[in-house]
Amino acid sequence: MEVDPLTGLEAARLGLYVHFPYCLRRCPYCDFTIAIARSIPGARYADAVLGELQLRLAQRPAWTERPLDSIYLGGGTPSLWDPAEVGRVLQGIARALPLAVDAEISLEANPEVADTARLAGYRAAGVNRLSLGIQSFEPGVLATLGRSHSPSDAEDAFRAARAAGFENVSADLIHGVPGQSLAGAVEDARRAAALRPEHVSSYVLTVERDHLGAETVFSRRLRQGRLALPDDAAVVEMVDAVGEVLAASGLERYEISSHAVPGRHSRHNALYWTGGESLALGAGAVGFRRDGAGGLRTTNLRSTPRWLEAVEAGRLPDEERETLGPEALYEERLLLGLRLRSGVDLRRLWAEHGAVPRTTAVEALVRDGFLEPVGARFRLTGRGAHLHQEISARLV
Amino acid sequence: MPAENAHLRNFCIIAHIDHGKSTLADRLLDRTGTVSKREAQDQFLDNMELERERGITIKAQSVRMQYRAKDGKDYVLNLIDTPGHVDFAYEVSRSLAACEGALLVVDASQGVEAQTLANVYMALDQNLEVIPVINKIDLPSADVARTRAEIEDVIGIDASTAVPTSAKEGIGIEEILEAVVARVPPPKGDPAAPLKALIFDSWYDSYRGVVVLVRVLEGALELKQQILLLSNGKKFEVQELGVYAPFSRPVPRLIAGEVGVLVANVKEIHDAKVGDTITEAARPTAEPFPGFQEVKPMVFSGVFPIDSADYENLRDALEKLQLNDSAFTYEPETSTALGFGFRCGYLGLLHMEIVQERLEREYGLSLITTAPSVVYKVFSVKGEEMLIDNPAKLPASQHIEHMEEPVLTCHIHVPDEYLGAILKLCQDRRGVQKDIKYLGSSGKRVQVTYGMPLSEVVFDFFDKLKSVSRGYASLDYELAGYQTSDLVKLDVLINGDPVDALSVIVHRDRAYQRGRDVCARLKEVIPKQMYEVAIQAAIGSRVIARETISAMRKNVLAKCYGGDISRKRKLLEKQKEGKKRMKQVGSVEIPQEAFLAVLKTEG
Repeated sequence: MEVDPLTGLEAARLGLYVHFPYCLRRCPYCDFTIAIARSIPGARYADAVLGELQLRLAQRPAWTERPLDSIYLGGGTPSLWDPAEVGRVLQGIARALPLAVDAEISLEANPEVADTARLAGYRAAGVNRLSLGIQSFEPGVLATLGRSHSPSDAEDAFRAARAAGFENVSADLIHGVPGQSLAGAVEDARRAAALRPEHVSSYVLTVERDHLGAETVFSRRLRQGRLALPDDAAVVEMVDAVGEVLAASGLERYEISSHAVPGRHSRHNALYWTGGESLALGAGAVGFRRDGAGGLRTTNLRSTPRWLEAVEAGRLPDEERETLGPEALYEERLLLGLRLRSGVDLRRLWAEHGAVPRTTAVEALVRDGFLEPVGARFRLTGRGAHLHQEISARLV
Repeated sequence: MPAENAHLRNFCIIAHIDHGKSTLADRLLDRTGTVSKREAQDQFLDNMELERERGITIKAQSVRMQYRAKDGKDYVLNLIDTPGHVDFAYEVSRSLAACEGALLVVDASQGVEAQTLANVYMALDQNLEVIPVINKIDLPSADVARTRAEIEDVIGIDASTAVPTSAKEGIGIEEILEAVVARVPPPKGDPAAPLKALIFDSWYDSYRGVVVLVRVLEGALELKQQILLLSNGKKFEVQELGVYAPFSRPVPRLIAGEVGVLVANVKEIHDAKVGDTITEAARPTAEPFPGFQEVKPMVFSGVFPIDSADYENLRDALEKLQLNDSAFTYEPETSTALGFGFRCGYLGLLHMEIVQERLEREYGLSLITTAPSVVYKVFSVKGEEMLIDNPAKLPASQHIEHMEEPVLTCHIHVPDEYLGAILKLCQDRRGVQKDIKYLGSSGKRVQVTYGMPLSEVVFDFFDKLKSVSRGYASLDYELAGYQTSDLVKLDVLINGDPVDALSVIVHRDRAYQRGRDVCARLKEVIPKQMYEVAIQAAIGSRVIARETISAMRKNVLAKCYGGDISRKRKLLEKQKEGKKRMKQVGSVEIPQEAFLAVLKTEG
């Protein structure tokens, strides 16, 4: 695990992402690659993931040259995967690739299926960080979001995680949901904080089709004028209030949507924000690696049956390959660096990427209170954080 | 009449914009075998991309056709094309002067339109033989008898011999060619007299220099001849002579009565102006062909590059455009808000749009154009007279004794059911009614004549006219001098700072309404910024209207992991592109269309 010199954030340099696409149903706001299944073909999927790993390593043996700093099992609903299969996958990975001793190994879990025995199984399989999709403690909000767990399920799941031996647990919250009030969002933050998690991700609900990877039920309703979202001012208030509640409980905001007890930020997520490399396995999984002064981002086949078919036939399951030039990499590092509370060393970023220094724009943003210097780095102010995208556009 | 000319016929086509001139011209070329089927690109005469798209003709063309008539003799027919828009009335008059006859094309269901009427009168003034052609008789709504009656009533010419035609279906083409041969007189003019030739169009060709379209009136043009241009006394040697049939074909000489192309090492289009007379240096003609005018721009606007680094490119592009357009002028202009740019002069709004489109399309420039202005006469308290074509240059009101603005006489043709709407529109535009009369015996069509300030017509009057009349009204106008008006400068302030490029000169009575409209319109077109933006309209130091654009509250995306990153970067790139279409004025980003929006106000 290293500290990224541009942002000062300790982050995984090489991570492995496994996408587990299966869900019991599709939530109306979700744009992820998923597959709805009544019975989960867990063993077949585990075989295929390990099969893809072999294909990827054969294609590029250099993946084995550096130890993995993190493994992340996301979805979909990875907590529908039998712990034994998860264990088999993690062992397979550890056999094929060197693994750092302090590697962060996360799994996303849905409170619906998160009893102590199951979670202990994941712990025993090697998972050391759990991310719980709590979303809200308000029954109405959970219903709007199409979640089938209850507020008490979420609290039970959290306690189960502790009982199963997890010392690093994150809770996901969503705000800006239709019908959600400021008081409701604050109450969600309070109840989440009361559980004393190491980490909270608090996401503003994203609905616009342009901002999503795919059409969702919500994006369609929004376009048809059938979705009443809280207005921008109300959402801004929620974000600020939630941040204050979490900070008061020792969960400091370190990224636009992420809060953590100091030292407990997600190393794997930090990899994405600091230009780290990731090997991606599973349907629709997105990986990235450096390539000279540029980079290569690959997306696996998004259709689960087609992904399975390809891997089982011994073919690389590529759907998209995007070549990134130095300028694209620069834009990403800027865009992502500005999401971080630790800030980004703009001068060094400009120098390393041969970009034109935007000194005048930076000065104006600092003068107007959107950006502030922290040592050699610049970060968005509280006000600036709400305008992250707009400010980034002024600096590229 | 000299025998050399007996087989020659020079004619043009007068038609309203969509009454089928180009299609008819194509049929004539087709029937005379001038253009083979393979070459027949649709609408041969309109060869500029823009002209084709807009269905209008900007540059005149001429084509020579060979035709064996029913009398068994061979004739040479020169079809001279004329520009088809009111902005180019002078060019039309010069094209007509090169002809002895004109085909008047009238749509069998639409009837006579204002612009056609203006051109027909011009043709009759110049003693052209006018042959009416009633086109589009294939349409179900065609009414040949009524159209015939209307031509007689409205124009006052005999329409009994009008040729019923469908250019689209190829009906009546033969009859038109026969009518041209029989009725258009062969050209007069003595080939042995001293040379007198009229320039009726000219353009710049990057290989050959200026190419001139001429009609030889007397004498003959010969290769190697030393010629003299009467308006400026400049001399050139004839290097090339040719005719279009329809592609350029060299000829050794052009004699009295003929139409052709002349290349004489003329480097600048300003040295070969439309309407000028060419003669032989050694044996000059006694007097020039009458009617030459220096064409002067009537409308001016600022043109600025969005990216100031494009200034040099813009200058090069303007220079190239001017090579080919003697009516277009430009000179450097500096704006506090927009930086370095140019003040450009145009014949009218269409001309302005054409220039802008060419700059953006052919030269790939992103530009901001400010609201067009007419030329005001400003009389100072000290008794000086100034010509002001830029609101930013208007002196402070205490130094102005009075101002005058250019006025037009506008003739509008409209079916009577839209008359009320047209009268209201003219009244709203400070028009003064001069005349109103019903055309023809049907009593369904009306011609109204208004005196109207040019500034009220330049912007969107034509569009409004069309929209209130469902496209049925047509407009012709001529300049009618200057009149004293109570005018004020309306300034726009963004966050307290005046933006010079947004100033307009308006009539005092309408300043308040205009101020409110401008602020409301700018509020619509300027996107939310990271700061609150105040838009104010002011006369002098007095603010008369205000709007506020509230600050953007939120523009941030929640999740940003593996697969999201490319999508978010692309969103960023899209935003960056969007910013390129904006001009940073102070701390506010103003989109390019805002600068024209100040005139497009009433809903």
